[in-house]
Amino acid sequence: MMEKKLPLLVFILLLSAGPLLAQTYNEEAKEDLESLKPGTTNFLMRGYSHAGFEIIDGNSSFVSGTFAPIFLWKQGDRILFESEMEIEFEGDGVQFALEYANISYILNDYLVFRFGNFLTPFGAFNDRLHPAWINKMPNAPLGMGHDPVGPTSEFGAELRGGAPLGDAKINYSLYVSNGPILDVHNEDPEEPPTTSISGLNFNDNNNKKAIGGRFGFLPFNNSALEVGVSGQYTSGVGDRDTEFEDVAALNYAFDLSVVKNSISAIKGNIDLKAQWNFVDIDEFHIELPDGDEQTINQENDAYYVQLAYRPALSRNNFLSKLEFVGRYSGINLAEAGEHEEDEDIDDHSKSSFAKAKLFGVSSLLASPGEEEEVHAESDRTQWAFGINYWITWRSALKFSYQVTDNEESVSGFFIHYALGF
Amino acid sequence: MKKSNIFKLILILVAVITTFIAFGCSTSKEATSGDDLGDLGSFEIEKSGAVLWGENCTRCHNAPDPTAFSDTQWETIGAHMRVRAGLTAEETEKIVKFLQQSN
Repeated sequence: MMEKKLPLLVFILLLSAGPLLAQTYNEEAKEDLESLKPGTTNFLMRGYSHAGFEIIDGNSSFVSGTFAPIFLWKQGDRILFESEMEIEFEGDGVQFALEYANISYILNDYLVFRFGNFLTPFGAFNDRLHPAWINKMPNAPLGMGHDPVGPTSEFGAELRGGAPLGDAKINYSLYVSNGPILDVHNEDPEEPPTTSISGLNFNDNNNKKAIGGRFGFLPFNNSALEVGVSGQYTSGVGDRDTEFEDVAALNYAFDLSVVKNSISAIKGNIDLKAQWNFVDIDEFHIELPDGDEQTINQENDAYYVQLAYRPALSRNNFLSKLEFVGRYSGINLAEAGEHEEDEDIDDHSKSSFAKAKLFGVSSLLASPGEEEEVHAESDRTQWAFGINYWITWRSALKFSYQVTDNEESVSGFFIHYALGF
Repeated sequence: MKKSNIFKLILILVAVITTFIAFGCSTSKEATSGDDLGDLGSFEIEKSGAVLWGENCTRCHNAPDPTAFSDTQWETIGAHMRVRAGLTAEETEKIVKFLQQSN
C-alpha cells in the first residue's frame, strides 16, 4: 500500500518545492536589483580631449591633447556640483588648471542659484561653445579663448534660468562676483611697470564687487534664433588702498545664434554664430622709470562671426558627415598708452612704455582651444576655413586653414581630432 | 577697407540671413481650429521630448545619441544642461524622459 503511495508523495513534494524554489529565486533577483538601484547621489565624469598637428607660419608640430574632465555630482533633485579641470602640456611640463568649480541649487522651475567659481555668462562662446568637441574650429576666435577680451570666470553667486514667454523663450543670468583684478607689476625700478587685468580674483583684492549678467531672447518657438546681451560693471579693479582701487571697468557683449537643422532646400543644417565683446577700463596713470607718467586708457573689443553648413540630408553617407565652416574674427586693442609729455618722447622712451594687457593677450602659438596669437598686443583679424568630419555625434576630425593679419599675414594649417566623452 | 567696416558688413549680412532663416523656418506652436475643428476652439500643441531634444541640444552641439548614456547618467546630464543652457524644468524633464525611453 505504502509502495503505491510513494510516487504520489514524491510528486506532491516536487509540486510544492517548485513555488518554494521560485520564491527563493525571486527574492535573490529582487535583492540583486535592489543593489543596482541608483541612490540619490549620482556621480558622472564627462569632458573632452583633443590632439593634432599644426603648421603655423611654416613651423610644423604635433600638439598633444588637452584632457579636460568635467566632474558632476547630482544630489537628489535640487543639488548639482560641477567642476572642470584642464590638464595640458605647456612649456617644459604639464599644466593643471581648475576651470570652474561651483554648486547649483535648483530653487524652482525657472530659477537656479549657483555659488562658487563659474564661467562668466559673457556672450555665448566662453560659457557654452568653448569645449573642443563643440567648437567647430580647432581654436577659439581671436579674443575669445583663454586670453580674451572680456571676463571668462567669476568667483561669486549667481541666479540663472530660463522661462517661456508666450511662443518665445528667454534665459537669464544675474550675478555678483569679485570681478576682475588689475595687476600692476613694478618689480624692476629700471623697467617700466606692466599692467594686466585678469579674472583670477579668488581672494578679492578690494571690496568693490562686480555686477553682471546675460539676457538671452529666443523669439521663435522652434528656438532657432537666440540673441543675447551681456554686461559686467565694477567700480574698482585695483588693489585696496592703492591709487588704482577706484579704476572702474565696464564690459559688455552681444551674441547671436541661428541653428536650423534638416532644411530640405539645402539638404542640411545651418549653424550661424556671432559675438562682439567690449572692454572699457577707466583711464589710469602709472609712473615710468624716468619720472614721467603714462596714461593707460583701454577700450578694446573682439568679435567673430562663424557660419557652418552640414549636408546632413545628403544620400551620400560620407558627405552627410562633413561640415563646412567659415569664420572671421578680430581683436582691436587700444594703444599701449599716452605719454603726459608727448613732445618729449623719443624712440627710446617709446620703447620703454609700459605694457598693458587686457585679460592678457600674450601666447605666441595656438594652444588647444585658444586663439592663435601670432602677434601679441596688436590689432589682428583672421579668416578661417575648415572642414570637419563627424565620426560620431561627439568626435570629429577637423581640418582648418587660417590667415591672421596685422602688419603681415601669417597662415596656419591645423588637423585636430576632438573628442567629447 | 577698414577692418571694423568689414565686420559691420558681415554683421549686416548675418542679420539678413538670420531673419530669412528664422522667419522661414519658424513653426507655429498654436493651432487654430477654424472650420475644420468645429467647436473645439483653439488648442496648444505640446512639444514632445524628442522635439525639444532636437531644438535645444543642437543650439550648441550635435544632438546626443540616446544610447550613449544610461538612464541614471541622463538624469545627471539633464541637470547639468538645465543649469548651463537655461532650460526650464519642464523642458529638462521631457528631454531626459525621451532619452531614457530611447536608449
